[in-house]
Amino acid sequence: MTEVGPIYQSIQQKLTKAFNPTSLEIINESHLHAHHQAMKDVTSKETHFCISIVSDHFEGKKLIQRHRLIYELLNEEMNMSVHALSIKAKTSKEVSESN
Amino acid sequence: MSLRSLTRLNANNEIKSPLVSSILCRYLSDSLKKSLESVQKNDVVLFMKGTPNRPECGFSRAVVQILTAQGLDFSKIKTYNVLADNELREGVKEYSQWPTVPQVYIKGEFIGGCDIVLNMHHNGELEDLLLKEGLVDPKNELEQEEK
Repeated sequence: MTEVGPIYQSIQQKLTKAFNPTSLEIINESHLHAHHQAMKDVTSKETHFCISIVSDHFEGKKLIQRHRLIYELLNEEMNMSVHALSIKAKTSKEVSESN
Repeated sequence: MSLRSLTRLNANNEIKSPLVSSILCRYLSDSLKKSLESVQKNDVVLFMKGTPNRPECGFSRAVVQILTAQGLDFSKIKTYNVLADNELREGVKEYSQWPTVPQVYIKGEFIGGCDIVLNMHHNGELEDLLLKEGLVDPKNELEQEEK
């Protein structure tokens, strides 16, 4: 179950505004990591998200550049409660080629 | 208060003064650049949570499994457990300008985190890179595939 909190909403708004995605899915996976050593003193329910985003803004950019763009955009969230993002960033052309 | 405990507070975002924070960041990056020199000295360096035998995070575990599947010998990979060293944990993020761990470096170059390494594993780029750098033996790879 995906819990929609303030960080989730902020991530969704920023990604939508910056990349005008043709597809965007954000899943809160924090509960999967709640028992980990690194999370032992953390009470936030918004620590881990899986982001699947399709946008033509990624055209011509390597994967590492796409990830950096997203991390830069979400710098504030990363400095708050977010510990990790799992990112799948594709262009619409790449999605249609893989289907 | 000692500098070390100050830097720890800073790493935990418990210091709210931007001035103190920025001075400490400079201190952090200077001292850590020395310890991070191993990134340039070793063929493969992995910053992870936990150890290769006992990863403490699924993303770190996945990277260990991928590097193992590529035929890399972990006795030759320099690994750091960032959970054992909070200064290093924050320092490596600053060094690479990448906000998360695990982080993989090959021949001194930052490759990426779990998603990128996994993607490169799937599309063959990782194997190509390791072969190009002479870090895996192409013959061994073939033999393993035939078994």
